[in-house]
Amino acid sequence: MFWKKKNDEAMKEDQGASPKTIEDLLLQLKKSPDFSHYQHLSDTFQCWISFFSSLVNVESIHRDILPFLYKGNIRSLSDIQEQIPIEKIERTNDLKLIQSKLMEGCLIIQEKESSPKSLIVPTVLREGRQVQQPEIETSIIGPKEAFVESLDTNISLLRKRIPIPQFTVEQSRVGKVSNTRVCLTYIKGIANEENVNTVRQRLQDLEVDHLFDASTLSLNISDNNGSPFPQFIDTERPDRTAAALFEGKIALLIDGSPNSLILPTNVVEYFLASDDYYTSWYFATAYRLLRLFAVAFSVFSSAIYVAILTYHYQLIPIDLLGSLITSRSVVTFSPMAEAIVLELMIELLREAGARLPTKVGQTIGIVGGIVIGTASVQAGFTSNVLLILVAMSALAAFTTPNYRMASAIRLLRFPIIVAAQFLGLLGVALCFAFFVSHLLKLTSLGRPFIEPIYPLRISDLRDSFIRFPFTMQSERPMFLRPNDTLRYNKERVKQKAGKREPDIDE
Amino acid sequence: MQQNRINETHQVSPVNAFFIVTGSQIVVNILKFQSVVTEDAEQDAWISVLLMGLGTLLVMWCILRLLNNEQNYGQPDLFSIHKRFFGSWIGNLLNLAIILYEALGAILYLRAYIEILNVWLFPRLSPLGFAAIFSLLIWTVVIGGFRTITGAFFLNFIYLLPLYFINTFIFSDAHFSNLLPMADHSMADLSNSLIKASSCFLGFESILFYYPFIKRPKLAVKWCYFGLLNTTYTYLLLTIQGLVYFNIGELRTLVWPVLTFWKSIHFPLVDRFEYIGIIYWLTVLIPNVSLGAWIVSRGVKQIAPVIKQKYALVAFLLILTAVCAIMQSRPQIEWINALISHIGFYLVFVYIPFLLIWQWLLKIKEGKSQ
Amino acid sequence: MRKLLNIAAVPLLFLGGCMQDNIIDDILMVEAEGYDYIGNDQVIGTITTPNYAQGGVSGSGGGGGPATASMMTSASAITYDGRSLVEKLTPEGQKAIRAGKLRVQLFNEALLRHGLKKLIHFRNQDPDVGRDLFLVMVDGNSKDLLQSTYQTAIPVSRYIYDLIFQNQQQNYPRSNLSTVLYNYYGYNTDPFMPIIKKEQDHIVLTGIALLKRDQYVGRLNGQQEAFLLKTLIENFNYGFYDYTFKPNQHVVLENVNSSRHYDVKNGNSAEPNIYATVTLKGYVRQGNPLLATQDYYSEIQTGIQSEIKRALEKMVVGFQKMDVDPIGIGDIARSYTRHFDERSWPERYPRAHFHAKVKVMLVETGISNVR
Repeated sequence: MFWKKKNDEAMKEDQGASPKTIEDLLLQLKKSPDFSHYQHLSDTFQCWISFFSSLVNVESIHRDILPFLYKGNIRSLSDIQEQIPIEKIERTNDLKLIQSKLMEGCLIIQEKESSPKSLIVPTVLREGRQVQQPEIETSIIGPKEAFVESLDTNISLLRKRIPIPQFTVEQSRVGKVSNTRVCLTYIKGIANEENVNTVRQRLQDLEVDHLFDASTLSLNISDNNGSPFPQFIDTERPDRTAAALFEGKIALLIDGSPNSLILPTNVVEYFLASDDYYTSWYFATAYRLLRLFAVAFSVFSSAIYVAILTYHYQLIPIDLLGSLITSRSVVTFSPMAEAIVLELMIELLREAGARLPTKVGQTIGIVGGIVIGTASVQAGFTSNVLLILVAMSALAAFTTPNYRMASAIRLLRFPIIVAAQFLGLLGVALCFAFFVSHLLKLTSLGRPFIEPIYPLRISDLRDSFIRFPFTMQSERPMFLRPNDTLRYNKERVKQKAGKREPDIDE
Repeated sequence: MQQNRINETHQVSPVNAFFIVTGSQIVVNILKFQSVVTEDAEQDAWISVLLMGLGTLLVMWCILRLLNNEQNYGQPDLFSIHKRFFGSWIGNLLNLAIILYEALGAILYLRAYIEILNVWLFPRLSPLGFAAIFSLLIWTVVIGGFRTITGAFFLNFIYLLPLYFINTFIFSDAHFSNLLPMADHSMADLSNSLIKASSCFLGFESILFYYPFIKRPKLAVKWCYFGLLNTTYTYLLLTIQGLVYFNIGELRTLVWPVLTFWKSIHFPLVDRFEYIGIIYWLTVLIPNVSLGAWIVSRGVKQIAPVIKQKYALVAFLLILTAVCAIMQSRPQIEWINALISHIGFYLVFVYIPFLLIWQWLLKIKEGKSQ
Repeated sequence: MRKLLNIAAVPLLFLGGCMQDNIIDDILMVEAEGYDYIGNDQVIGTITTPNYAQGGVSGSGGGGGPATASMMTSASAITYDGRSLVEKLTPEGQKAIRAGKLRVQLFNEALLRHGLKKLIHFRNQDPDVGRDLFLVMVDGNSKDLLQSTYQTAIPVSRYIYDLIFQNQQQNYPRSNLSTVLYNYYGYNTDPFMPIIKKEQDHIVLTGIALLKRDQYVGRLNGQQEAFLLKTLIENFNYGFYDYTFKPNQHVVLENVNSSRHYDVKNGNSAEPNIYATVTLKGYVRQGNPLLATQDYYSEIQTGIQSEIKRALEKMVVGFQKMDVDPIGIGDIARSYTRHFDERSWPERYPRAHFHAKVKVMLVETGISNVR
C-alpha cells in the first residue's frame, strides 16, 4: 500500500541510527531485560526465538507454540507455519516488518540468528481496561458502554452495533516514530466516497512523530487549526459513533485512545446529547433549546452585565436599578475588573477540580463555591448580582455535552468582556460579529460548519434545534451528501400511520 | 465564454437571491424613512410606497432580462456589459464611475451609522476608531468570498425577523384615524413622495454585480421578486406604523422616527429598546458594507487585472476608514446622501432601461451584419 | 498578514474606546425635575436623585468601606427658561449628574402660563430621556413638593410616577411625554397634563391642566371630569363613574369598558357638526338599598346615559369657550373630511356643534338581589 511505502521511506531518511541488519537489531534489543532471545534446540530442528515478554501472551506461547516445536515432524520454518494452531503466521525477510512486529508483541522465529529469514507468530497480549461506563458523556438512559484504550475492543464494540458486511474498517499507521494504528471506519454505500477519500488523504499527509489520542488527531487534521472551535467531534460513546456511521459519517479509531473521532460535523451537533434520542421528541427538543440558551447565556451574560453597568444605565428598568446599585455600591472595582476577577476564580476552581483527585476535588468545589463566593462579596470584591450571573454562566457552560466545545465557549467570554468594557454593547456586538464571520468561513472536511443554518437546509433542521419525531426524519443529513439519502421508506411509514386513524370508539 | 464561469464552489444557491436583494435594500436609510416619505403625501404616503415597490419590480425585470441575455456573450455582470457595449476605454471609464458610486454608498452607510452612534449612544466615539475596527470586520468577511457575504446577508435577515413583531407594541398608542381620509392628495404630492422614497429602495441594483455568482440563475428570478416584495411590505408596514403612531406635525420634527418609536418600547429587562435596536443595526451594516467592498474590489480587478482583489480590498477599506474620519458633521453626510440618492435614482430608473435598449439595438445590428 | 491584522485589532479597540463611561454607582441619576417660574424668563429648577444605598448593604459585613451612602438627593438653582438642569446643577453634584432615567417633570402654574415651548422642544431633541416620563403641573410650588418628606420612604420621584401611572390605568386619560409631544406638534390638537398637589404628607392627583399649544388656559377638576374627557379620547377598560340619581344617593358604575366613535358632517362649512358615540359597559358593585335590582336596568341605565351626554356636551362647549382642543376635534374633523380646510379651522372651531350619543350597558349587579 501507498501509505506503507511512504512511511518506510520516511523512516529510512530520518532514522539513520536504526539498525541495518538483524544482528544489530537483536544486539540493541538484548539490552532490555524484558527481551527474550534464545536458541531452541530439539532433535530434528533448531531455531532462534525472540519476543518481548512484556508484550506477548506468555501463556499462549507455552501452550500453543513451544510444545509443537518439539514434535518430530517439524524440520523447517514452513513446517511450523503449517502446524502451529495459530492463524495469520507470516514469513518475511523484511527487517522493518520484523522490528515493528516485535514491538507489537509478536514472536519471531529464525532459523539462523544472522539471517532475516523469519516467521512472525502473532501472540499479542490483549491487556487493558474492561469496557466501562462512560465518564465524560454520561447519559441517564441508553447504553452504558464506553470505548477503551484497546483498538480491537473498540472495533468489536462498533461491529456489534453494525452487523453488516458493508461496515468497512481500513487500517493505516500514523506517526513517524510511534506508528500508531488508526482505523478509518464507515459504511460503504452510505458514506460519501469523496469524504472518505479526503480523510484518507489527510491521514496520509499527516506529519507527526507520535499520536496518543483522538483529540490530537482531530487538532492535526481539522480544516482550520487556528480556530477556537473543534471541527470534529470526539466521543467516548460507541452508540453515538454507530449512529453517526448510520447517518453516513466517518469515524476514526486510534489505538490507545478511548475516544473515536466523528467527521464531518456541523456546529449544532456539539450541543446534542445522546439522551435526546432516547426520550420523546418534545422533551428532547426542550432540553436542546435549553442547552442552546445556556450557550448564549454563558457567553454573553457577564459581558452584557459589564456593558450595561458601565455605559447603558438607561437600559436598566427602574426597579432593578435599586438592587444593582446597592449591590455595586461597596465594590471597589469597575464592573469589568470584578467580572474578570470572578470569571478567573471560576476558571481556577474548574482547573483545580480537573487536576485534583476526585475526592479532594469535591471539597474544593464546596470551598470555592460557598466560602470564596460569600467572602468575596463581603470583602467588597464583587457584587452579589454578578456572583449569581457568573455562577450561572459557569453552570450553563457545562451543559454543552462536548468538552472541547464547552472549553471553547468558556474562553470566548473573556474577549467579549474586554470589548464590553471599551465599547459597551457595541463591543459585544462587534465581538459577536467577528465570531460569526469566523464561523461562516469555517468548514469541517470541506463541508460548511454552521450548515443547517447557512446554507439553509430545511431537511437538516429537523434534527438540530428541534428534534422532530423519528417518523419525520426519513432522510440522512444532506450536508454529508450521503450515497444513499434515505434512511427508510417514507411511504411505508405513512401507510402504517394511516391504519391507526379510527373514528371515536371504533 | 466558458472560462469566464465562476467555480461552483464559490456560487450560492438561488434562494439566497431573496436574502441579498431584500437585505441590500433595508439599510441605514430605513431609520429616516418615515419622515422622508410622508413629507409630501402625508397620510397617503403608503400609496407612493406601493407604487415605488411596483417600480422596483419593473426595474428588476429589466435587470434580469439584461443579465440573462448577456449570458450568451460573456460574464453577466455590469463590468463586463460595459466593456462589451462601449468598448474597453469607455467601458472602463463607466466602470470607474460605477465603482465610485458603490464606494460612496458603502462609505455613506458606515458614516450614517456612526452618526447615529454618536447621537444616541456614544457622543465621544471616534469615527476613525470605529471605522477602523469595522473595516477589520469587513475584511474578515470579504476575504471569505461571496459565499460568506451571502451568509452574512442571510443571518441579517434572520436577526431582523423579531423586529417585525416590534410593531405590535404600537397598538396601545395607535391613532388609526390618522390614515383618513384616504387618497386625499394630488398626483404631484404622491410622485414627490415616490421620488423621495426611492432612495430607501435603492441597493437591489447590486445584483448587476453578483448575478454570475448565483447557481441556476433561472430559479433565482422568483426569489429576486420575492425579495423586492418583502422590502415593499416592510416599508409599507413602516409607513403605516409611522403615520399611526406619530402625526404629520411630529414626523416633520423627527430625524430618525423609527428610533424615536423604539424609545417608548419596554421589555421586562430592557427599559429602552432603541439602544438595543441601534446595536442590532450593526448586523444590517455588516453585509451591506461587505457587499460594497466586494463590488469595489472586484471592479478594480476587472479594470486592472494586475491588481489582486485582496489588495484592492485592503486599499478600499483604508480609504473607507479615512473618509469616515474626515466627514465630521451632519450636513456633509446629508449632502452625500442626497448625491447618492440622485445618482442612484437615475442609475436605476433611467440607465438600466437604457442599457436594455442598447443591448437590443446591438442584437439587431448583429443580426443585420450576419 | 492575517495574524498581523488580528494583532492590530487590539490597539484599535483602545482607539475606539476612549469614551465617557456611566458606571451606575458612580453617577447621580435624576428622576424628577421641577420648574418654578419667577418671572423675567427665570426659573428655579430643582432635581431629585434617589439615594439607593442609605441603609448600607446587607451582608457586606463592614468590608469594602462605607457604602456610597448619603449622596446628594436634591438640588436647586435659578436659571433661564429652557436650560438643561443637569448642566446647570453640575457644580452641586458630588458625582456626574445624568438625566437618562428621568421619570417626572413638574411645572408650577406660573411656568405653564408663561409657556412650555422651550422645554418641549428640548425634550423632543434630547435622545437621552425616554418618552414615557410624565409632565405634570403642580398646584403650588414644585420645589416644595420635591423637597418635602412624605409618609412613604420611597423616593418622591417614584411616588409621583406610581401615583399618576396607577390613575391613568383608571379614570385619567393617558398623558406622558409621548402624548404631549403628539398633541403639541399635531395640527389642531392641544396637550393636557395631570395636576398634583401636596397635602400635608401626601401627594394628591387633583385634575387635568388644559394647555393651548404650550400655555395653560384652564383645568378639569376631579376624577369624574377626567373620566368624561377620557371617554372622548381613548377606548379604555377600568374606569369608574359615580352617578347621583337623587341628592346624596349614589350608584357607582365600575370596570367600565368604554369605546368611542366619531362622525363629522360638513367638516369644511362654517359650523361643522361633530357626532360622538360613546358606548360604556359596566358593572354595579356599590349599589343603593333604595333601588331594586330591576331598576338598574331601566331607570339607572337611562339616567346615566342622559347625564353623561349632558356632561360631555357641556364639557366640549367649555373647551370651545376657552378655545382649547384636548380631544383633538380638529384632527377628527380632518380625518373625516375630504380636502379639509386646515387653515380656517381655528376660527371655525368655536362655532362647531358637538353632539354626544351615549349608550350605557349594565352587565351585572353583584351577588345579591333586592326586590
